[in-house]
Amino acid sequence: MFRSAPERGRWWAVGVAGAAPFVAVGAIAVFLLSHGSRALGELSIGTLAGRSWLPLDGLFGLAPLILGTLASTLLALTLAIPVGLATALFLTLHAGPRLRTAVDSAVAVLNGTPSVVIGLWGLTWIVPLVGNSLAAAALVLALMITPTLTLLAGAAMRQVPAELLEAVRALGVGNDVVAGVLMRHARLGILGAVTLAATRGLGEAVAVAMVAGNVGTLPSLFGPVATLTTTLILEFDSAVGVHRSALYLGAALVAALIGTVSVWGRQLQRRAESP
Amino acid sequence: MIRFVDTHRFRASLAAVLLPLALAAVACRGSEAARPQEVRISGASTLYPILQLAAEQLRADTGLRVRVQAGGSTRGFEDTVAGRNDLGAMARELTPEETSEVRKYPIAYDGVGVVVHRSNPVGELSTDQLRRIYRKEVTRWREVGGEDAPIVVVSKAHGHATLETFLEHTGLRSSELEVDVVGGDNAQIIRVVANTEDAIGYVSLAEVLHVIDRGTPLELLRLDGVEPTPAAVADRSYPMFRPLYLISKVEPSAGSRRVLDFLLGDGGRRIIEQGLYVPVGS
Repeated sequence: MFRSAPERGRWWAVGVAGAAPFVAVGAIAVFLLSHGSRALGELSIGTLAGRSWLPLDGLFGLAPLILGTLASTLLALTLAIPVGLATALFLTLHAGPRLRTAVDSAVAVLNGTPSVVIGLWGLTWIVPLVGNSLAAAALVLALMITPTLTLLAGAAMRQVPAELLEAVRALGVGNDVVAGVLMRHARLGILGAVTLAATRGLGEAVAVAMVAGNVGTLPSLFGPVATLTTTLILEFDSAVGVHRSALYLGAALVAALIGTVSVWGRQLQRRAESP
Repeated sequence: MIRFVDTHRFRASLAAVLLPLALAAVACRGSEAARPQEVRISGASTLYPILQLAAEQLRADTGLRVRVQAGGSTRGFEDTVAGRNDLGAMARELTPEETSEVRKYPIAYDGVGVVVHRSNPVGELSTDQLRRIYRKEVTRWREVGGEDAPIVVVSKAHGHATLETFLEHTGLRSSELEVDVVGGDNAQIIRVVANTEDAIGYVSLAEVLHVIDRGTPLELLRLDGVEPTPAAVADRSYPMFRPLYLISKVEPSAGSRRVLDFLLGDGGRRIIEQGLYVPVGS
């Protein structure tokens, strides 16, 4: 190859830019694990898997925090998926352009609302109803991830060819059949939307910390709950030694959970791609 | 030859990305080198307002630069031992092992106040009642002279000096605590209790006096019959309080010495009293 020097320089720059995400992910993993290694070395697996997170007493059981993270995200998804898909379907099938624009921009505003604002809203509206609890955390999370889901699922549905929907309608079938065909065609995008909403739920911290109660016991619907990320927010500043290291381990777990869900979502998408 | 991209535009955008980065790198290096005398303080967020005001005053009077970073008492201690700061700020008594590793300079005292929502008719609790509430042996306000409502118990995250002072005063162990809400800093506890009519919490007295003054719907409870005020902390009649220290690993540098002298002098005393803390020796 006889590439000129400037051209080689350009390829080099592209290569660096392309590699950057991988380097960043690798660096974060190394960073979290190296800081978490002290906890891994000093604490037994039994302690780390234990059901009590009481740093002052030397108890660093991550189980309640992991369960809290999973429970709040799953509950939020059960609320967000029906609402988000229904909204997206309505916008695609029935809404006129003006209504669609109005609803779309409302959803976009909600999507861009900082989590601390949503947390404050939850503190004044949700907490008086259901207490500082898993239920409150799930409701606040649902409010945060439903817009993401609606926007992305809606975008996927609008990719479905209009002629196809016209053809289905021409068969004289009901609206639910049309919706079914639409969802089937947009399933890849919908799956992507749900995956992204799930990862956002797993990682959200600020809003949840304001309503969840943050007590590291095993979660119940109307009892307080702590998640990996809320515990990080509350304790990181003042944690030292093995406590700090255990928090880094918690952070690594969040990253691993999010990574797993993303990869899993991709695989489901790939499977759906080749029926 | 096929052009991969438009060379000029590509170069321009590359420059647009790299130039600010390079400038930022240069700026960072420059600012570090240009500070011959600077005092770095890190630790308890309780001391932050006092230290920040003192830093501004010292800067105006003598040109001394004092950089203050909040991050919790224990972190202040660790930073000091590791030499990451010149002075550490601690909002609690030091353990005997900690005391053997550093020099400590008492700066002020701060009470830990027990707060409820302003609508709560209960005005006083004994330490024993407090203990039983935080163990969930007493779960309704009626049992301590209030209305028939469940008590929402609010506590602080592990690692905060307020929690340790509370545990020390009540004699509770952290594993005994049965609470409904855990908050990170004083501001979060204040926000939760101010938003929850049936809640009880404990916070830095100085900080809560300020927010009550600004109209937050909170009420401080008398503890064992004593009104929580800076004066009651000063004469030791209010039982739940903690000392605020600055600590250093070695003999303080000239700059650190100036900070300590200022805080223990008249100027520092004024700032401490303005902050509703209690100066030492009062």
